[in-house]
Amino acid sequence: MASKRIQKELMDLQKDPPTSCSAGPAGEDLFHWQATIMGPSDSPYAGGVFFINIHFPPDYPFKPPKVNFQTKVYHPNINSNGSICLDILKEQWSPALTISKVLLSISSLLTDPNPDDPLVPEIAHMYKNQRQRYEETARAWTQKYAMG
Amino acid sequence: MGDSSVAGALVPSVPKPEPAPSGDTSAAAAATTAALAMPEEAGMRAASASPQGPAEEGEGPADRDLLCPICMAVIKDAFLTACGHSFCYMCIVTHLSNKSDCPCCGHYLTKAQLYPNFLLDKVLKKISAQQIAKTASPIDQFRCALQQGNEMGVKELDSLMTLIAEKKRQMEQQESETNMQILLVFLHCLRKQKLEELNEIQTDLQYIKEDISSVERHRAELYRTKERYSMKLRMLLDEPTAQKMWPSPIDKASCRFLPNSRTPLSGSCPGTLQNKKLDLKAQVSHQGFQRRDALTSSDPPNSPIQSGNVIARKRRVQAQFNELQEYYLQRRRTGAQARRQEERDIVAMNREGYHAGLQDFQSVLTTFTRYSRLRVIAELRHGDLFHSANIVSSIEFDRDDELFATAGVSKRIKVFEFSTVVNEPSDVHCPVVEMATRSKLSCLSWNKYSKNIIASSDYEGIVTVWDVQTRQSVMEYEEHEKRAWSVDFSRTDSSMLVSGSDDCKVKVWCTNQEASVINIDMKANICSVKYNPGSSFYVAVGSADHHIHYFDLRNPSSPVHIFGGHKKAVSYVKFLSNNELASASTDSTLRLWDVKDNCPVRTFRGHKNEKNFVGLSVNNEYIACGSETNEVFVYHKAISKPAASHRFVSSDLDDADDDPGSYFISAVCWKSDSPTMLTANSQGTIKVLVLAP
Repeated sequence: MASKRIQKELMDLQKDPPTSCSAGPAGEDLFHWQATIMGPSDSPYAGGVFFINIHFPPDYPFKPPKVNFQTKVYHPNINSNGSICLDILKEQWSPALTISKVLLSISSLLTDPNPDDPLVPEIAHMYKNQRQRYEETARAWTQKYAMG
Repeated sequence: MGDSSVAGALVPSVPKPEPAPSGDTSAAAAATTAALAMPEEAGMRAASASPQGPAEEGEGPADRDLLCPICMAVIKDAFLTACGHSFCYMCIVTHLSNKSDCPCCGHYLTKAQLYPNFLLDKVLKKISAQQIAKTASPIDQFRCALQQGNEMGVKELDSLMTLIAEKKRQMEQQESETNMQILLVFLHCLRKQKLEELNEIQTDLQYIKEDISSVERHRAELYRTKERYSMKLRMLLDEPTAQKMWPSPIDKASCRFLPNSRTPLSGSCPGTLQNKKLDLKAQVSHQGFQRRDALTSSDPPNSPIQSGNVIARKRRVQAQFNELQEYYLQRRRTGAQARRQEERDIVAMNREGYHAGLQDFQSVLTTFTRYSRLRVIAELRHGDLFHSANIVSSIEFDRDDELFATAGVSKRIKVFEFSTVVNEPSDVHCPVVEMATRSKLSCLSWNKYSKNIIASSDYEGIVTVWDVQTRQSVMEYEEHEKRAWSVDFSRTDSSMLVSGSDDCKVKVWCTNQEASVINIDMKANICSVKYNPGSSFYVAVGSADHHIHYFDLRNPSSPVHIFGGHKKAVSYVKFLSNNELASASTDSTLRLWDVKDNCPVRTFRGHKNEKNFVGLSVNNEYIACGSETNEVFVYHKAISKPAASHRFVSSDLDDADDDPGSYFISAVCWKSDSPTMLTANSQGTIKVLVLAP
């Protein structure tokens, strides 16, 4: 069940790739993917390429995949371990969701952080109160870690 | 017809099931079906719109609408949720065991709120069947039609079976033809190959036949000559005997003999021969038993010796039959090619009665079968007890084969008189000249014109020219930076000599000046150098790079040709003639090269040589070399295997400390135009060997 579903998603991605994102198996293991997200142009993450790790559980799609950032990113909802605070990756997961939709949601999160449900409170605080400084720092991190 | 049957089978089956259960008219049933389908389609659209959003609705809506949102495959056992979404039964039940919501809209949902959608199941099956029909191959469609039991008559089946049988026959015939064609190609190739072999064998047989005829004619001529000679001899013997036997009737006898003795001398008239025979018979009958004894006794003493000799030579032929056969055919084929090119050869062949190739082979056969072993005719043993190693590196005859010189690690050049060594039975021979040298010596070379001049090369790299008469050095060349392995005087220009060294340099010297005349820088150690006997310009250089570099000294920047083939260092190079070069190598082979056509001629194997200088010497027909088995080997230049060998046996008590197996032959030298040669080994023992039957 899971492997059939994963293979179908892979075929769909290859047939109809989404913009600004790409994904596929990292190696021989079909249950371990690597994805990339281009930093949204209307965000301080513009110009960066962010690598993301994806692990599928054995009972996928009835349980959500585990998704982590490999690239360091300065974001209120993403911590230094690369964990992402996103509801559809947790309690709001649905078997009708796909990796393609997950990546689009993450890209949307980069453009519009959710400071009211922060994973890194300090960054959330700066996002709320010192927006300009937040953007400068985010841009600096992007330049340092997500380029080259 | 099959296709139309399949299509026909599908079309009627759609309306038939409907009238029976509903009981309405066909038109009403169709309307009902359409009405039921429309709400389902609308529901599916609503379901897909919610999770995907309006942007994706346009992407293949028909295909996506048929898929289960959970497994993304065509819905199987369709079930409808209370909120109006459709899933596979197993998918939605599995989901509800984890969460109590709808995967599409998130509304609260339990198993009790799932309902089977039989109509959707039917629609999905029909659509699947249609898709299969579109994409399936004609064979699959045909098979499906047959299995579903469509209405097809027996005549139609017979017609189809006839077509299928015909198709099968055609395919089988095509395959059979292909196989036949492949077999035919193979057989043609095989026949062509065998015909070529047959032509080659027939050509060889023709050569052999021609040669047999030539040899038989030649033999017949020899026989006739022999007969005439015998008759003359008998005439000489007959005359004095007759006079003694019958003195009284001398007048009558002399009258008879005189006319007879004159006519047989011509020897050409058959009538005369007949008369001669009659006369002989009469005389024999008259002279009685004594004459017969004399005639009979003339044959027996010779025949056993001759037959024994012939048997020995035949045995030698049999022992090397394959090599002789190969050489014979090679010569005949080469001769045949030359014959086609030049008409003059035909005339030459007619005159001699032999083909050039056959003549050459006869010469080789005669020379090869003449000898089978080496016999010792003299032996010298050095008296230097203080030297544990007394290797003789070089042993060389002078210009006239009267003197020979030896040199080696003993740091002495000793000159012996050959006739004294061979004729006197003494075990210890004194050299007629002895000269001390500063270093161990590697090579000697006599001047080809001045009888008393000899050159040496030594372990310090010095090339020295000595005067044997005054026992003094005439010139010392010190340019080599390392050990010099080889030195050679030119035959045509007696003032020129060449040397080779471990410093990778070949140097040409003139006895009139101290500095080298020519210097050739090479990339590897030089083991041997040799002038071409017919020219002072051409020099062969044997190198540690496994090659022989052949130089024209008028253009020393690069060799005229490089002969490759040896697998190890080339330790010696010697010329059999102006065009024939022999080389020795520590790959345990000798090789013969043609320096005119720049090609290899033959490789000789049988001796063992892996690390030492074991000696190499050549004459017109034979190549001699030493072996690390303490044996001397002799090869005929046309046969790859040894023709003869001789093993040195070391039995001195003084040598008990040394390992006998470690001795090797270190130098050899032929006496010019002779089956005699000098040999020396690493103990310092010198033997004079001669080829023997």
